[in-house]
Amino acid sequence: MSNIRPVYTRELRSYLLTPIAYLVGLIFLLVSGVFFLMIVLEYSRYSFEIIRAGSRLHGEGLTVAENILRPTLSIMSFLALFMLPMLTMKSFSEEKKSGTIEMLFTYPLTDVDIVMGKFLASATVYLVILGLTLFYQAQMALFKPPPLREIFAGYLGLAMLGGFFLSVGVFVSSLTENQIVAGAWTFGTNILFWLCGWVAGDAQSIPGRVLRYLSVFEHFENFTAGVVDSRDVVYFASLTALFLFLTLRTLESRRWRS
Amino acid sequence: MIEVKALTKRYNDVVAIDGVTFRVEKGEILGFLGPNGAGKTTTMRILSCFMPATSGEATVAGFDCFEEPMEVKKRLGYLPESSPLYKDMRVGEYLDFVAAVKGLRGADKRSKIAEVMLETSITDVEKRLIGRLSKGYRQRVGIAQALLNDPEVLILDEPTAGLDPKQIVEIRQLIKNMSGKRTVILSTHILPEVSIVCDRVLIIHKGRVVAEDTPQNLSQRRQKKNAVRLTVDAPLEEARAALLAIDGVKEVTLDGYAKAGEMPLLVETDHARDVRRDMAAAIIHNGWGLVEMRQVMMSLEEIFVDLVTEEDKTNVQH
Repeated sequence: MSNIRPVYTRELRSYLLTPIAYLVGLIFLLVSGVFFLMIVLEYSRYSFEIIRAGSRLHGEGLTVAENILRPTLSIMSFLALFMLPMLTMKSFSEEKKSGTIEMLFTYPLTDVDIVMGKFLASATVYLVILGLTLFYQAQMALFKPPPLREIFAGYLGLAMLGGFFLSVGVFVSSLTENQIVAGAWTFGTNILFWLCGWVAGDAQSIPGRVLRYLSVFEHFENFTAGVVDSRDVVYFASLTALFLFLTLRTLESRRWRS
Repeated sequence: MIEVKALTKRYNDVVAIDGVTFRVEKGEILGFLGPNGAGKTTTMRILSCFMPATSGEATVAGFDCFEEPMEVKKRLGYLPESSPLYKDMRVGEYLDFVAAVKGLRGADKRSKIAEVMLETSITDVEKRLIGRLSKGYRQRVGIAQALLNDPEVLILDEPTAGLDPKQIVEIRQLIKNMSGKRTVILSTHILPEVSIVCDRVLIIHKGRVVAEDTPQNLSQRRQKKNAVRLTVDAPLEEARAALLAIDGVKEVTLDGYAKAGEMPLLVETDHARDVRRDMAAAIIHNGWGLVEMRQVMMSLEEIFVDLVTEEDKTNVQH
């Protein structure tokens, strides 16, 4: 019988009781909100200019999806890159440091219960924050019918991207009892996955193609364009699963390292 | 209920425990006695399935700790040293979490939590943050969480460490009340504690079991050393002469500093005779004052040394 729920509930409660989740949420909403405002202002200024110039284009090529949603999604992906390590850095580190892990490991729980409980709790916090940012897009719906397909694709992308970052964070946190070290390593690993495509450039060599395939950025880009490609979904899902699996192996290692 | 055979644990090159073998019967309270670093915690961590042994066998309630840890965990309550609890949770919330983890749901869960809180007398702190509790209360919450699955076996690592005397008495009473109902293993480095709480004592030193005994035998062993501490109101040389005249007294030395009317002496005697009555008679006969007389007890360290040297001797003989 799966026993994820009590672990999940406790983790979630712990997020609600400590300031970290609120801080991450606040910064995420504030920064994405400010950028959204700037993007909208820029958008309206530009469309005014087009109208005033009496351009025959008449604002063609300017769409909410392309000129408002897409840059907002990019900003939010950056925020996820910076902020999510803070959500996961304590997940195992804190329990290792305080010794509560010893109790957790002697309860009738499987390692899967523990890892998934922790991962899903952090994912829940992230999804709530993401959900709140939908408010920005809802405001736009007052002026124009919202580009629902693009919004869905973009937010699915953000969710998968975040899931991946969180799984890296949970994994790194299982390696150390120092929260700061966990946070820093998570951030470093995320950035590596983000940038490895840029390093590769346009190189058509095998290493170049591998690096580009591994790049988070390349796969996330497609989502912001409103395209849900199964290859990108598989990419994020499999990397997330890989890091959760690695976490399980780390926990298991205490059983054979003797 | 608990069976341990030739259990050995190595951390790289350090041997934490070396061939530990013992049994605990149902309803028994077993005390692990040993200095810090003797291997008490390691043994308990293996029994609680927190980590594996390098070699050997450990069975709890009929299930092997390595083959079927989940079955063992279901039947076990464990409190690690210094009871690490989630400090940011309230007592009630925390117990609710542990009860859920241990598979309790709904009304069963609520009634079990209430019952356990009553047993450990923490009902009045249910709404308090664990981080704000005194150490004594925290220890009781730790014992409460261990009891939630109604465990057949309870393992408590230094349950009285760091508590004040009143709290120690309360925790000991709490554990003693479980006698007969639950099988309990507790560790301590306080000698009198085991005689108060435990039915049987296992003395561990440097990773090996050096003695297994009842607390009564252990206390007798403590008095084995043939020395009496004596404080008399008498001149040193005269007192010494009078005492040495008694059959069985080997040596009399000044033990500490003499004060007005108080001459502290250490009297070493033969194995065979208890000379305390003769000494009292001699002192009274001379018209001196007898201020204090007591058998010298061995300290825990001395008992260890005693046991270890005894063991070394038998090893040499074999």
